[in-house]
Amino acid sequence: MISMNQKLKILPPTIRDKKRYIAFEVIFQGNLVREDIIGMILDASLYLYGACGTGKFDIWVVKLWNCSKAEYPNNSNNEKKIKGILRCRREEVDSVMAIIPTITKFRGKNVVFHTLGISGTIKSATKNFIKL
Amino acid sequence: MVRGGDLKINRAVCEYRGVDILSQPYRGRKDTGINHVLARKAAENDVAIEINLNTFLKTNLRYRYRIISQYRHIIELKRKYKFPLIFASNASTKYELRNPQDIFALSHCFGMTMEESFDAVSTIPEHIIEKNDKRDSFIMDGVRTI
Repeated sequence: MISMNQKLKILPPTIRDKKRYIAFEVIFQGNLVREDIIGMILDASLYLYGACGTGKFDIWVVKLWNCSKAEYPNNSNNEKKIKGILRCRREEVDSVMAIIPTITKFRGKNVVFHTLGISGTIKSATKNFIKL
Repeated sequence: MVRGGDLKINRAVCEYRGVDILSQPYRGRKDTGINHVLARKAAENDVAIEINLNTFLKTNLRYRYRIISQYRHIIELKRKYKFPLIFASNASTKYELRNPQDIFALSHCFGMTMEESFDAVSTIPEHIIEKNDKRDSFIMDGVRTI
């Protein structure tokens, strides 16, 4: 049995892939969990670029924040707003940003993704675009 | 030839000169199973890393991108540390066999050039077979019975 707790030593910075962090927001009428957002982004990427293209991107959803109550205190539509940070390879930022507007429906309801900005670190993406 | 996946096995194989091939170091893992340390050891000890096309072909379409990503990382390490890399079909029936030309085309998806994929399919396996023919006469590095 393979234990997944084992971790490899991290690669030196010269070999490591350069990353970019894309801050985004999702607006949806209903509940969304982290797995739903990851699934939506990966499915959209697979539809747009296929497995070969998606394999190059190294996409991952790093962090998510639930902002529904802060921005819509008297929310009557049950509309949920989530902000998050998406990680990808530096060379593929433009291709990854093209995935975001292609997501339009989820479980038969409308959903919209907006890009807030691109940053080189999680810290600056949170500070400049998520603005909690 | 040793099937990898576990980090301790991957490391032990890369450090042992008596093994020819480390098969599927990424098996059952989210990362590639090898890093710069193991890549350097594999290059020093002439241990070939095997990329198994059967894993790619049998993986669910939804998760295939992850396998491609792992292959790409292994190929990037190969370019830097120059360890031998081979492709294997792991075919158990004729339906799983693929033409070398098709494998060259498929390897283009992983970011390999034509020369690299030719080496992986033909030159390096041939070198391993030649090495094994002479294995019985080896005593240690640089010394063999005549």
